[in-house]
Amino acid sequence: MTAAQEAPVETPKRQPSMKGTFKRHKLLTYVVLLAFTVLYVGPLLMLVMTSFKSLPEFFRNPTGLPESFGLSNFTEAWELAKFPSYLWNSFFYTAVATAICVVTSVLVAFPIARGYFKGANLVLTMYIVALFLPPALIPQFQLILNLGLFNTRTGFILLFLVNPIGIIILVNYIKSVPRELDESAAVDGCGYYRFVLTIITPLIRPAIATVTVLHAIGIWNELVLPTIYLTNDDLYPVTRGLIAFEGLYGSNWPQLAAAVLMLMLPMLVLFLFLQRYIISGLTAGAVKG
Amino acid sequence: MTSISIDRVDKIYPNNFQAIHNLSLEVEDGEFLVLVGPSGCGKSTALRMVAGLEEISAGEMKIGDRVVNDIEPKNRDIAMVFQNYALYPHKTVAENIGFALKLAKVPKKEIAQRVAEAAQMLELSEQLDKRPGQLSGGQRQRVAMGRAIVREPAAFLMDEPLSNLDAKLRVQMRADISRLQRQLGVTTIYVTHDQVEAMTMGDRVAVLKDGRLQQVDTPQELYDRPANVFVAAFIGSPSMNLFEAALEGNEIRFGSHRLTLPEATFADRPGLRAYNGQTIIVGVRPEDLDDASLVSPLEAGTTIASTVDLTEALGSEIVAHFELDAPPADPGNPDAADDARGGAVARFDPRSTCRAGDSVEVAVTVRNLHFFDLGTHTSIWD
Repeated sequence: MTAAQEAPVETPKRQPSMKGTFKRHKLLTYVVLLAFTVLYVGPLLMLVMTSFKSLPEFFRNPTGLPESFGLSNFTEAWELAKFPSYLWNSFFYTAVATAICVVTSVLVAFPIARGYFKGANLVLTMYIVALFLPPALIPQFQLILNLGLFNTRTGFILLFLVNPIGIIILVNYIKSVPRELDESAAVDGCGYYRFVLTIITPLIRPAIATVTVLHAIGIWNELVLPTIYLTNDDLYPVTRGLIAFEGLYGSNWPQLAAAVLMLMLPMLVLFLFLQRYIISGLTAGAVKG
Repeated sequence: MTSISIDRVDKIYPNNFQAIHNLSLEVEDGEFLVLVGPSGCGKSTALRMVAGLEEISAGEMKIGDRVVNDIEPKNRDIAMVFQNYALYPHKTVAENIGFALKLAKVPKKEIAQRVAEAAQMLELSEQLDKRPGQLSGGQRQRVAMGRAIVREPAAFLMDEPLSNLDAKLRVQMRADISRLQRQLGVTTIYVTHDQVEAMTMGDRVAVLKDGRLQQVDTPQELYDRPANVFVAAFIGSPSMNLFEAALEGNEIRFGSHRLTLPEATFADRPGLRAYNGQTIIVGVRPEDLDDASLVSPLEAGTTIASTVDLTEALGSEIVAHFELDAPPADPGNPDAADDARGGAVARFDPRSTCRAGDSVEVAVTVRNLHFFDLGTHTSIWD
């Protein structure tokens, strides 16, 4: 009885303070979120604004709204940065390298995840170590040169065939697929490659989508490697075309902004297309157990 | 027509852990054999060796007339049902059931027909286009069964297939699997840790402990004539009360209690006389203990006086826990840490009025007592 009588007296006393703390926490959350939003969206908005301005207008008013929303910067940038031919190169490199990388990564990640060979953990550790190593630019360059693949499509694609982070994501995701599926398939008479490609692959779609997007964006946005490994104008990817906007005495910022916006569009589409898988792919280890 | 023969099989892992010791078992054609034991006893390992999912370290395994030691799982003509069903989540029920047939390049028309037949048998006809994620636990379990049935294999191997179901569904599926197995007449090895499943489903039950076969027999024989203390305690629920007692002539003395053994006991177990004056392990099943006030006629030397610790009224009976000042015997079941807790459990007639704290006179059906050697833990018969 005493406890029952005391309870209603205590509750109203404690509630306002709880509510107050909660409100303060919420306010702080919003402030932090807003700060980060400004930090992320601000430059993007500025890029969009800049892409609609003429060069004199940009120098007069670099941060304000554009006077008009004409598309002339886009059409000029399209021609100047040789988008039509470079875009095809970029698509080719990204699609071929990503496809090969993802398929081989799945075939490598599966036996590592299952421990189907001796030293599987050691191999995984080596992939993790590889994440922390600096890029081996000079030996890599020597290798490509000695293979006679300098300034070739094959040589350039070869640079993007391995992605340690992709292997790690796939290994962790495959670990959440019950091992009994392997055994059941073995009893049913399903061969190894058929099992990996027709049973495992559809089950790890989120991880594959994640690796695909991460890898594709990496190749698509790469500027340093094409500058080093490609010298032939016919082989340049679209990022290399952006150099056209860099003048001797200054850059054409509005046209560069327009080109950058056009450049990011395909990856944005890919991301939007695969994003429903990606969220679960990135959080897989945390919730699947 | 397929029998399975396991002959002196060992399983030793690379880290030198021996999971199976010299296991020999014969499963006759069409027989339902249950492998039962506590966790880590090697029952699943034994089954997986039959399936070919684990290599055999020594001994010989035969399915039918064929030695299968080095034959791949897919070529052993067996079908396996796993604890978590191992259904392919992205395939429909029909595709799951027909997958093995598709791999075997059976014509599409025949696959459809056999899948439909299996689905009908398992009442899954309405679910064929659904994916496993849309099914209940029981339905998924039936799909797993369907996948095994449709192949028309020489043997079914089932690894705790009912463990993931709730208690009520488990009872129903237990009956369904038994019925199906009898209907199809396929040789079956079924692994479980649940002794009730083992007793109700198996034609014969093999009890394993620490990778060693303890006893293989019909459920009733296991219950009536357990080979050792472990089997005695493992089979039956609540489990057999086991305590150390001294045999003195035709009496046994444990703690402050004495019971008189009838001549029939010595006639059944001639070997018992040799233990006169020694300490042995005595086992008494809870159903052989009752509230003495409800038993008539009550013979002299068949009761023990005690105090009730706890009663659990189940409606059809009262499970009474009472004190017993005799040293308990440890049956060595790793899953039941409190087996050697002392005290005893009885299944009283529901009319009993005794409650916790009451003094009670417990009537013992002395004719049904079990006796085991203290050192070897084996049953005393001859």
